[in-house]
Amino acid sequence: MRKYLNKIIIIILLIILSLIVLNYFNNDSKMLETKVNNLKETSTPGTIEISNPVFKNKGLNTNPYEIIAKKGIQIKNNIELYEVLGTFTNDNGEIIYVKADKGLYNQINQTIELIDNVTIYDDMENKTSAKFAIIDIDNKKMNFIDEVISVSDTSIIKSNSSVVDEKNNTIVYSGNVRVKVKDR
Amino acid sequence: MKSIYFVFIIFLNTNVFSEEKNDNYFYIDSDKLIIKENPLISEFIGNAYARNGENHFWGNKILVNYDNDKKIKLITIIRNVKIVRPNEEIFGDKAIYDPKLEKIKISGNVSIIQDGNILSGSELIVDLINSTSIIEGNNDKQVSVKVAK
Repeated sequence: MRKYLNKIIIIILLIILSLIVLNYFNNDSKMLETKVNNLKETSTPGTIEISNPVFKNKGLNTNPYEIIAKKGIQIKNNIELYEVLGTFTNDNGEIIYVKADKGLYNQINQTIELIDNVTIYDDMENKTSAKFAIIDIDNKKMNFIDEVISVSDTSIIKSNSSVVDEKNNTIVYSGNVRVKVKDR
Repeated sequence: MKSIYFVFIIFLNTNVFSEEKNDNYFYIDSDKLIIKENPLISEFIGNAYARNGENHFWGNKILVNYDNDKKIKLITIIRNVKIVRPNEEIFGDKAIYDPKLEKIKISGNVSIIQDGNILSGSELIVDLINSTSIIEGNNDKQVSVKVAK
């Protein structure tokens, strides 16, 4: 029994070690800090549940960001996140806040898929909500899909989908675009 | 100047402004919207339709330019322009609406239908404040009027 327990502990340690090494090689230039608390094996083989995961990037090559969640489940390079909260700093130094019920963070591609009750807002009371969103951190793009609603102090925009491209300073809304804007 | 012909049409419709002044919003629909910054421009592409009070605008594309306060400065409607206002319909290739001056300038193959009468020309300026419209012709296209019996 004790021998069996030792084997399990060695396997867990090997998994942790391999994850740390993988994370180091994938993100060494990005200074990604991942706080992993209370690691434990879940019922599904090859997955690790993480309580209150925090992902931080201080921004050498990309703008700073921080993603926190109530729970995370690591499956290979993806981490499923629950009750996601994130802050991203854009090129102008403005902070953009992100909220969603669920998320999927891909550490290699540096993308975050946000699912259900997705809300993105800033300090200027600009707010965009959608059912689904993909944040491409490296390419500075946000894709909003399904029931997109953007609200600012002067306008309301509704559409089927939207792409915010920070590199090119453009926002594209597609499909059944409906806008209400103050005329003066 | 000989080649330019003017026709002045005065429209007396007291109801035109009452609803407009109560509605401080523009409603715009389209298939696609591209917003570009510096300067801020909204480009509505495909089946573009805009409404402001009693004025309705259609076109293939609608461009909206904004001022520094992000308020609408100019609205440009491009290709297959149709404007519907109380008791009149206006057609043209391009229209520019200035909400501050409350003037609409329509150009290129302009025609206006009012009470069954059809006026055609190359340029039309609609003054929403004074309730006047001026249609102009040029060498290529003189102003023509088709009066309904």
